[in-house]
Amino acid sequence: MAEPVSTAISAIASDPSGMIAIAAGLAIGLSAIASAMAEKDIGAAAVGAMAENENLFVKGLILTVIPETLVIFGLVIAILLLGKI
Amino acid sequence: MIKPKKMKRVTIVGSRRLLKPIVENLYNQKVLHINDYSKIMSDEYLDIGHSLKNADIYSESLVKIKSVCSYLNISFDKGLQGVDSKLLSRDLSKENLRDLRSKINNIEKEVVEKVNKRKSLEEELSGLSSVRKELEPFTALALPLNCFHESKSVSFAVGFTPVNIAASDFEDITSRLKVVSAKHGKKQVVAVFAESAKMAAVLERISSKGFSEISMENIAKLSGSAKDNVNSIESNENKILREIENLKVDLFAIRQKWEIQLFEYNDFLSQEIEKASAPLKFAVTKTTFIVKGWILEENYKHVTKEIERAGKGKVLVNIHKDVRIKEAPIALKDKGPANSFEMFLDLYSLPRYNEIDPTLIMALAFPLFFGFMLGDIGYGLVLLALTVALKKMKPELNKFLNVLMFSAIGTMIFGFVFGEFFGATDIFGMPLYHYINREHDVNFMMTLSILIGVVHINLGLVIGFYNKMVEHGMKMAFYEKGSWILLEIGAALLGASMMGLLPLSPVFGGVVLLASIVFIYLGEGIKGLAELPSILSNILSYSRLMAVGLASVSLAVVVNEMAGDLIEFGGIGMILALIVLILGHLINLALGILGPFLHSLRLHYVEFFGKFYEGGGEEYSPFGKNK
Repeated sequence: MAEPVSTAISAIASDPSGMIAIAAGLAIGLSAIASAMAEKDIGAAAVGAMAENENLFVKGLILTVIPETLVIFGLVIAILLLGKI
Repeated sequence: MIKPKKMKRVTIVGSRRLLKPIVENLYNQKVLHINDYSKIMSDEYLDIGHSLKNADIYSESLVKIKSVCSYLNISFDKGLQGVDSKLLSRDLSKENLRDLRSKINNIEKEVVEKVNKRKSLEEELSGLSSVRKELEPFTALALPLNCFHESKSVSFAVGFTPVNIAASDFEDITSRLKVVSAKHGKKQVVAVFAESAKMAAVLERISSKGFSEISMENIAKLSGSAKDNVNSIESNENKILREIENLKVDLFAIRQKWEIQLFEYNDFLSQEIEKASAPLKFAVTKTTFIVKGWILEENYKHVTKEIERAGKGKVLVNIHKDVRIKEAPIALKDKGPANSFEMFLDLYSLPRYNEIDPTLIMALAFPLFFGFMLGDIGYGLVLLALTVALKKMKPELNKFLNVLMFSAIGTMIFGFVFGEFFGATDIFGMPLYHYINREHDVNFMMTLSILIGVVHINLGLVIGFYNKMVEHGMKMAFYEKGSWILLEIGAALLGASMMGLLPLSPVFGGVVLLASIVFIYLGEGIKGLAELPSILSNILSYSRLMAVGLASVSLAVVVNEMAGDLIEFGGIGMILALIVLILGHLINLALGILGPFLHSLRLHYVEFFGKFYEGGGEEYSPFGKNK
């Protein structure tokens, strides 16, 4: 059992680009999920508010897109990581 | 060009006897933005004005016209169809009010009479049709309807069953029973007659077989055969339908006859009501009236002269010094083609009087951002063609379409920079020169996006600096806005000297950074300190310019590659490739309009406006101007 694991580890150590790619994927994927979770709540509330008063469209839009910054941070990190492959 | 139009605050005082000519004059000049008396002051010597006389007659007549119009399906929202409304501006003010009123009453009477008749006929029709529907199953049974009249000894039930029912099914209950059944459409209709005493048991038995009883409310009153009854009802229905048709023709004739007049009356009465109710915004004493408001500085001398002339020297027009100028209503200056971008301020909020109107900057930056993201000659051309076509069809969306048109031009310019035509690097085999390859120079694109962000955000801060300076003076402007610029400089110096790019000690940058933080604290307090990282996230937010663009170009390339693979198959592959190309690029274009539009808008509203814009100005809407 021990042998395949250690060969895998040494293979990763000699060429970490696969791991870097996975890390980049996680960086953007997880931050996208975080943005989505935040936006779904804000978006639902914004649509509710708009049903009451259509003038709230822009305020709702702005509030809804605020968490997008999270995924952009994820993207920046992902691109920085990919540069290391 | 970049601040709202200058305003003058004005108070008009005059004798109450002059109220009507002054209101008339103000209405025709369309220059005074009236401040409601109740909002501006309250004083025990002053009262709120009363409407001019005849206001109630005008309102009553207008209500009648509106009801007539709704009966006749006339809507004046977009003017009168097929008629130039300018030709109709007949002056009705000379017409005798009593004549006008009686004319309107007559039209209303005529219309209401016909409409009521139509309504009662329609009710009758629906009553008949419900009887006919009830009768239909009985036509299949072919029993005279007298059989279904109430009787003491015999009870009955009629309904649909899924299975056949025969008298033998009830042998154990009673033999004094009769079952008649027939096919009606796809269902089986059954009538069961039994002695009243046993009916309950019979009903229970047939319900267990899935029997569902039908309503017979109207049948009990009828006699003769069901078919004859249906026939006579149908002929009655046809007669009523013809009558309704005639009434509709009559109403349409009435509409044709009166439409233009109704339009004129509606117009005239709306105007008169606006005039007559204007004094409700005035303050009055026993003998005088006072009205306060705002007029444009550019024509205040002329306006004043006109009002004084209408008041024959018995009206005082006082122009105030600029003490309460901050409350002035907002009229944005004409900025030529950039006017369409005012749409974004309408959606957000108008600037306050002392603030800079950012429309002009948005008119430059918005298409730039949009183009930077979509950046494709092909998509730009399609979008341009689309907006030009839609502008003809939907003139009411003019502003929005103009914004899109500018954006399409930006898209084409950046299409040449990136050398992209529907995602390909050539136009039908003719190679395109590209200055930047978006797909491969990702890091360069990101740096460029962030640089654009730095410029845009600092532009916002500079405007904010100016706004604050006008409102609170140099010191506060520096603490609140200048300090942020200093923060960026400090961070840049610190970073550069630490990386060895500058022959400076990092301490220098650190000191600048610390000083700026102190200034931010002085300007905005704890809230400012909590927001310190926001400047970084705001600038990084501009990397979406690269990200959205990358997604768009990648999708286009994928579509092209899929189509390329299909073409190699030849034959049916060619057709499939064409479908993939058209569908794929359509979807990508739809995403490519929606995404860049929203992201560009967000960068303006959140990152840019956040640096300087407060908004909340009231729109300048002069008395008498059509809304």
